[in-house]
Amino acid sequence: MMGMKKIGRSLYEISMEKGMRVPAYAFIDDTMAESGETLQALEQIKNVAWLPGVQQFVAAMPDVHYGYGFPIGGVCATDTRDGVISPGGVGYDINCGVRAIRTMLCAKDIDKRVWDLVTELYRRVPAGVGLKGSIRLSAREERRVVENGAGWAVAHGFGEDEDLLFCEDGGRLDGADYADVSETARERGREQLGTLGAGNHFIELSYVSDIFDDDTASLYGLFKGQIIVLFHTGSRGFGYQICDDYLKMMRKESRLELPDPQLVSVFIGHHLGKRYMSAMRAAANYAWANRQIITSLVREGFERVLKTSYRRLGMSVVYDVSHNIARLEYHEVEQERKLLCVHRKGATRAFGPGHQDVPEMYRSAGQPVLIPGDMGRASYIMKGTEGSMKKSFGTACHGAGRLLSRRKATKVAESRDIKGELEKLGVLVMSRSRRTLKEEMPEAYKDVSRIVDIVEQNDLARKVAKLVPIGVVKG
Amino acid sequence: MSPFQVVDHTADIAVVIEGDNEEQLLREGTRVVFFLLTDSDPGRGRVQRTVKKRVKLEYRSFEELFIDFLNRLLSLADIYGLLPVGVAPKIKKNRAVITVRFIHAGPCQLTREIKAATHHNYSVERGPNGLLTKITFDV
Repeated sequence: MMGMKKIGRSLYEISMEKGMRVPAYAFIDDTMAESGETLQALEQIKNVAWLPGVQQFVAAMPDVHYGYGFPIGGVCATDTRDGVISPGGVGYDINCGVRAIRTMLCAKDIDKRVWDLVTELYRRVPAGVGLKGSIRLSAREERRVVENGAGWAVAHGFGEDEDLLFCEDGGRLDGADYADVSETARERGREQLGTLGAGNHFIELSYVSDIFDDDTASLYGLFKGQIIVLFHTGSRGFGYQICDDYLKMMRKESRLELPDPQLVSVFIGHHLGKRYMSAMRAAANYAWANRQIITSLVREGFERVLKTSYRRLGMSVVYDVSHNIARLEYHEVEQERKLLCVHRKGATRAFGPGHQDVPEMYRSAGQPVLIPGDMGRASYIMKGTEGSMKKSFGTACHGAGRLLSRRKATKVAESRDIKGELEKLGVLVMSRSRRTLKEEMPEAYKDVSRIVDIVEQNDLARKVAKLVPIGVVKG
Repeated sequence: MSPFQVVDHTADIAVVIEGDNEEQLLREGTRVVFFLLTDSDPGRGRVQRTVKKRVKLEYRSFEELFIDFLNRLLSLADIYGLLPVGVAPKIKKNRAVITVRFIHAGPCQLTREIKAATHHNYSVERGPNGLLTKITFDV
């Protein structure tokens, strides 16, 4: 039985155990605290507290669920001088993230065109397994992609410079060296740029059903009834291979004793630590280029169906967040400003007002925090807070979090017509795989509204707008 | 009873695989990869022309070899659309040469994306009836 003490309305402190270097906190409610699934995931966050150089605390977000090594929905920060970097703390899909695009359209404007838009986006953005993009990269061009990220895509006609202002890190991390990427990873990346992938990746058309904070909504360019496009994807096979390559290399060289081999780590200053950071940044930049190209494909899809330019439709990027990444960030630790390596696996950065990394236009409010839910219920746009800087290294949740395993979900949905059920809810869905629809059905996830309430109760982020889906493209 | 069984794991897919010996575990692992990617068994469907590739791996333990081999199969499926349908392993001390027969995945044959076979809670147990392992695949 795990020792845990309730220390807030929806905050638990996990008892220190042998091997843990710092305390572990879980932002969960009482029901979650009694769930076997959550407790399994919290065992994993305890393991994260073993990492050498870990600072202050480790934390589990309300959407935490069982992963491998790190739980999904976990955050930890290590000291850059004597701490480690762990590829398991980033995940296979490096810089998996979410982008939101606003429009000037209202739900009633596209009432009769939703199906056309969904089918056009499905046709235009390769989604599903084994589908290649329309871009074939030479080795030279692939190097430029990983060095320049979303900027490469804009320079090649996919979008506008302004889009980059609304991506975390401007859609590019410094220090990505193509030499640190294996030939296999390079091969996997060459034909997958501009593809959505499968599983929980999606494109969603939704409308703003509620505004919770008028001033911030206005700053983010949001209004009630507005059509928003939200999509979720990452670095595709390129990132998966980089993660696997470095886990393998680290396993051979690391002598650190950790409770789970998937947590394998090396010191940040170790030659493999430096090379992994470089390769991880390469994958992060690949993912940003990928989301930038998809942004352009989405705009083209709207233009084709609605027969007007995307500029006239007001299609601009609200924001782009990464939820699987390790970044070097300054945080205050025991009244000292320290450079830390913040690992966010299935967790979203939520920097508050005034932070220099928040785009100037949003700086007075805090950064947008994009929290997708499931296909049938809702998603949220939140804003970062000062509270999150102290309580979670500037981090909030990344989604609803799985409730049912894929196997259980498939069983529950066995004889059901998930597509038909969603249609009755007013959500039109195109998916390459019927099994994916079953695995990803709304009941397979926790209710995202409950998750964001817990985030808000703990002042990790605050609600700005609620989005309700009307059309979904799945792989 | 099938030598492999899919078991519950919240976000991903875990599979228990059995084999009389290391060679058989590699064969069953190959079937698992085919099954997870296509939701079908390599023994079913129409006869197709196969291509052979040799996969060479260096390793320190069979545990390491097994997982590296599965990940190699996953990357070949991702890059070339190759689906493994048979293996002939030659395992020597610290080095394995595994000849794999592949078919090219047909349109819509790939139904699930698998990112990797992970080391999470992974071990190969050896008992009187052979080998048993549980692998978690990141989906």
